[in-house]
Amino acid sequence: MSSKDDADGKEGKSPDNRRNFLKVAVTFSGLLVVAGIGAITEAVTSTPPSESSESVSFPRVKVASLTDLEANQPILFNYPLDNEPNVLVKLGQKAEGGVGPDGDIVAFSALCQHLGCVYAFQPTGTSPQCNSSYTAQSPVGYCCCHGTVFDFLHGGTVQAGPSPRPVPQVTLDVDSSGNIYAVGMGPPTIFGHNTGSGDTSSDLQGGNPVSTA
Amino acid sequence: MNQNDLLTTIILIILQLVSTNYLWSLDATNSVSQARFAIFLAIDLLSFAMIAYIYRKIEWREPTYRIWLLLGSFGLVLLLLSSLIFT
Amino acid sequence: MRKEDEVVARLIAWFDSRLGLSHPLLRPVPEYSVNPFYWLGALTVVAFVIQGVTGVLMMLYYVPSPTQAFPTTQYIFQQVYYGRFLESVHLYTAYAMIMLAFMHMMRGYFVSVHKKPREMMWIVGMVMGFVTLGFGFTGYLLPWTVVSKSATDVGIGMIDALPAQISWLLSFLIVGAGGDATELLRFYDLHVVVLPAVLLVLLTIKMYMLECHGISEPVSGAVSQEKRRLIPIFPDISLYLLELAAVFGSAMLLISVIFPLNLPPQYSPQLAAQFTPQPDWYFLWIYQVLKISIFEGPGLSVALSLVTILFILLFLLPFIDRNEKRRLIDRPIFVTLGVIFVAELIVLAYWGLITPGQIIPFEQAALVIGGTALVIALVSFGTYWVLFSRIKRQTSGPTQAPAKLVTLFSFGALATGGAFAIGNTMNTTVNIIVQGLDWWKALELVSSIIMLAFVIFGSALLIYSIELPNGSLSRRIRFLEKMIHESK
Repeated sequence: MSSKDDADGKEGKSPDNRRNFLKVAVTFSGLLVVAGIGAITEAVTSTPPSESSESVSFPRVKVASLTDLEANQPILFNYPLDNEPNVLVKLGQKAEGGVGPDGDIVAFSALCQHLGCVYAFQPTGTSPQCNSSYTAQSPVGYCCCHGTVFDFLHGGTVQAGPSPRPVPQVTLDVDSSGNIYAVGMGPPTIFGHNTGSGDTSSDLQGGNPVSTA
Repeated sequence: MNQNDLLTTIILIILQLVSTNYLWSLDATNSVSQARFAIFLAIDLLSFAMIAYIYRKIEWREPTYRIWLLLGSFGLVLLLLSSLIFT
Repeated sequence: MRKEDEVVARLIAWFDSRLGLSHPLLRPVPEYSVNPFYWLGALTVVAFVIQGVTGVLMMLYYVPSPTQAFPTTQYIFQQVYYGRFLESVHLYTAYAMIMLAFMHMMRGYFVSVHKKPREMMWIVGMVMGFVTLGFGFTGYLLPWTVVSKSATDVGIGMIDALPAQISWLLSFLIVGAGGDATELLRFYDLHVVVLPAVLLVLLTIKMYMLECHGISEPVSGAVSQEKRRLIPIFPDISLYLLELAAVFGSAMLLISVIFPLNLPPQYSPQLAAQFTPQPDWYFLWIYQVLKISIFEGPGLSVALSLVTILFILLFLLPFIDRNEKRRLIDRPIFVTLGVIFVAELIVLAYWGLITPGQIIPFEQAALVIGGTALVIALVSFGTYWVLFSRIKRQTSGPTQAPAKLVTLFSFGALATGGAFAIGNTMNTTVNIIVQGLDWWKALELVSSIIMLAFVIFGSALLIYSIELPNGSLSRRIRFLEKMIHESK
């Protein structure tokens, strides 16, 4: 065991004293390393608890009611902040994430994930004004800037075009009176809010929340 | 050369003391602290490795090869510099 | 002795006698083993300890349920003090642990530690290797990100494609009744409790066997008396271990600073459909093999059976490699097989990395895999024939030069350079055959062949330098020149 005979760190010329000094030095050095690791343990374990470690809460905002909606007639609304446009539309056929009695009411962020242009909803069989050579084979969102096509039947996945990721889908809820509420946003984040991240809490930053009135 | 070794040891211990003290004084809420913590803990560890090496060589009455001490010191300098770059 | 010296000495003596500190627990080791090559296994254990410490700290905040896994991981990344640092260190040390375990295995292979009487140590070690891979597999799922869940789903799909008995057993252990929640909980349980316990038990068994057999003799057997001097474990060798551990720790910390981790997005089926699942790097070679076209569909079971057979062969190596000789010179076949194994792993892994999700046509696979094996076999046998047969006749039992860091670096550089040179040569040859020759491709082919020649020459020199008596490189070159002169 390293002896601590020369605990006062005597530093003489004879080899024995030198060895003793080094023994003390090594032990002390080791203890300092342990102290360093102790520092991180102390810090990690003393993190103050946050209110909840669940994902942050989105506001519950009424968008429309079932009686307002007609098939393939999109409604634009802002959610969850007042600078984030989204499009709500009744597709007339069952879609992924769709709500309502027919499971065909969906809503997506209206900002293209490529460069943030606002794209438009294209019902089946129609062509966008900017590109008459493209005809929608199913209900899609067509972005006139660079031709991205988002599939509204399958959660906003990219059918064509340069967008590197799907467009975020708005989580909807219909209550017993037929009111449609927006209650959350799925990943990825809305364009411009930590774009490309899976952390949808960024959608709540950088603007004023839409009122829940 | 043994005088040099002792001098090196003393310098290393002082470096360790400063680093460990710094680790405890870091503000954990600052995000930059994470990189600083890692670097100074690494300095702590590397100094310990060098001191242990010097002790072992002296205990076995073998010469301490300068190349390892030089490499170690170079590593420490690198770490100290990176504390300025990565934070 | 001064008064306070005596008091301190008596205090230490009291602890010593009660705690049994100076009682010899582990036998002293010879001085030639104070060398990083002998400590790769110990460093793997050091990595495991680091994993334990960082893991326990993260366990304070992580919750293993499908809805809570990602949010709590995110919480660690964003809110917990030093959380991101913990995650980064944990991941990089995990990679280091797998890499060190592999290096430990290959070093043992080339130095023939699996021969009598250490066959069981090899087998126990292989089981530990599997446990380590199991750590990687189970831990990867826990953050519940798109990347990790997709890759794990593929992995579990592969388990189902194994021969029925094995797949039933593994499914029972790992997946349970089915469903995401049970799967995650089981993976967590395995990762945090079961695998660590199993690893510790196996480690104890292996250390006990090491105690019985001692450190293996250096390969050629004739080492100076000075190098055989026995050194006590405590405090000398323990200090050496701490030295190595401290340097390793600083390296891990530095890597975590330079490459801090970013959390991929949370798993959702929509997002997962967009990603091409790819396993972590240590499974890439299996992934690449499975992507070969003839293994598609029903062929998957065949491929997995082949991989299983390979692992079984590795397990049973001590009973396959029955030659009692340990010197590299005396084992041309197994040394060649070993080098081919390492090279194929590197080539396949890199290839898997650059072709995510792409099916590999059989001809290409045969060319690359077969080509790598062929080139190495030719180089190896050539080297053996040219250099070693003459050395064998001229010297009787050369002493092994102590392994130096230079040797380690050279080996690493040659292995990497070799893999690239071989891969590039294969690649350009295939390109030329398929797409036709032009100046650019010709230049590429010539430069790969030149690089290959360097690697071959370097490998020969390296093997040569390990086997001859300790002396400077010039002395060895003079020896070679003398040989050539005498043969004229």
